[in-house]
Amino acid sequence: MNILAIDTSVGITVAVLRSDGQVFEASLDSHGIQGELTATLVNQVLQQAGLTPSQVTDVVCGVGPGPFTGLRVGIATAEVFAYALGIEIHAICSLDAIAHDYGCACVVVTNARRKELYWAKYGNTRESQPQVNLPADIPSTQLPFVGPGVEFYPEIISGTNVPLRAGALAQIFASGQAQLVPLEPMYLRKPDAQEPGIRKPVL
Amino acid sequence: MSEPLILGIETSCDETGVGIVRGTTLLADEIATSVALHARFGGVVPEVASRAHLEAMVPTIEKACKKAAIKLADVDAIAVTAGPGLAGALLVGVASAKALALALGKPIYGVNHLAAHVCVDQLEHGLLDQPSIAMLVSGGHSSLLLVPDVTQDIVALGQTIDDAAGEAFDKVARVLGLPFPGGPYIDEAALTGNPEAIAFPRGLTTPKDLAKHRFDVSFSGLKTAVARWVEREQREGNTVMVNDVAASFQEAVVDVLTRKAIDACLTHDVSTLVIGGGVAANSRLRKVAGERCAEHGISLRIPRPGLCTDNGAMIAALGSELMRRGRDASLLSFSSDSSMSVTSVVSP
Ligand SMILES: [Zn+2]
Repeated sequence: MNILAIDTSVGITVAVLRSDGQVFEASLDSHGIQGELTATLVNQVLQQAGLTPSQVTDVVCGVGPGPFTGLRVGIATAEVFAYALGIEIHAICSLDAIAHDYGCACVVVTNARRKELYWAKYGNTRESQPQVNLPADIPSTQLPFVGPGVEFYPEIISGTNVPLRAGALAQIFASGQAQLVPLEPMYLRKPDAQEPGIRKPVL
Repeated sequence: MSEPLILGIETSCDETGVGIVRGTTLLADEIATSVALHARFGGVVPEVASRAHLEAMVPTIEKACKKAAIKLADVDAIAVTAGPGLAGALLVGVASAKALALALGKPIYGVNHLAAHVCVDQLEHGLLDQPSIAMLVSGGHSSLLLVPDVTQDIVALGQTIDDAAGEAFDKVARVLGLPFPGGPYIDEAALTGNPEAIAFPRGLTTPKDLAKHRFDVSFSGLKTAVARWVEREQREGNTVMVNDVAASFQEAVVDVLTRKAIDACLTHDVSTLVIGGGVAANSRLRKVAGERCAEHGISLRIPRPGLCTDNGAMIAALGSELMRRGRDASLLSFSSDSSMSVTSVVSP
């Protein structure tokens, strides 16, 4: 099994978990560049792993939650790549990768912008659906906060910044323990759109 | 050897389009539209459009391949709209196209949507004349272009200084209580209306305006004039003659557009006019443009309505022409550009 994992919910992270267990990974920790560089990074890790696209057997995709525009780039990339090669694609909540790397019970937090954080609670596995809240509204537990989200509201939420790695998504899938989810973005918010009211006269 | 097989992806607004062409032969043109989702908002909501593009992408690619009876692996190159358009919407198409190019090991062309609106006519009427004048009118654009070579050299002569032509149709439709998008409904209502019933203003046609905005257009004043007229009628307790208002409004738009397009042809000594964009589906525009072109010995090329609105075939058509002419493909790391200038036909 040669697994390609892609996640663009926090910057870009892509990885290949080769059949011999070796992981090849590339990440860029900034937003707004997913459209340009996701495919390039995928190409790069495939080359590092010495694989052609047709040697990939499975695609694993982090489906967020994350800022929508960037998140969709990774999902579109993963979905179309898998479709073009006729291989299977598997979706995992992006936050699972962070909890996997931390390795203990925790609350994973990532930046949701608009003064909010995405979060989910983990024991051995994810124990809640991911949610989006103001930092002050995230229910307090005895568990540590973990993930890139701890950097944003240190006076309310502090903890350990564990980065999101696509390699972790590939490993979770390979372990057979993944909590697979539907292949669709975890938006958690409705689009901002207002129906027009009564038309105002121009006079 | 057969001509190259190109798959084109379009996601600049609310249509997810996937087209497949071989040379200048159209094999498939599949479209999934999210227009119904936007109707209650009275205009395209970017986030709603982006969500719909992602959902529609793979099914639309699949349908197009099936329709064209080809395997994805047979495709020689991928073309995709790089801009201009809604930023988030463009990104879904570009990411998908890059994934295709990477998975299949084929070149990718990130192309200009406006140039594609011009080039699509090659699928219907053969190779474009060089040079041509192109007028693109839709909900998103109103441009008058001088096109010496659609693969590398396009000059913007003029554009709207406020609303796009199609936007004016949408807004006036709303004033008249007609559904969104307004174009087809106004066209239909106007069929039984009197185009000379009301003398609505023709924007940017006075000598003073022409000095500065010879090939630009403006529809904001016209839209306001229609709204004022309707409100006054209502206030005075008169029944608003929707068909007459629609016909008179449409006449004002068509008059200005065709006059400016003909002027561009004559000024630049160009004998071919190409019209594209959703508003090119308007029956009155097609008729008046035909008459006025004939009067001046200009040959008029308008693709059938289905190819005038946004679609994947036009993107594939431009990709095909770029490949035929040996133009460089884009890098896998090219950026989409929501305000891409028409002077850039293909992203580096
Ligand atoms: Zn268009």
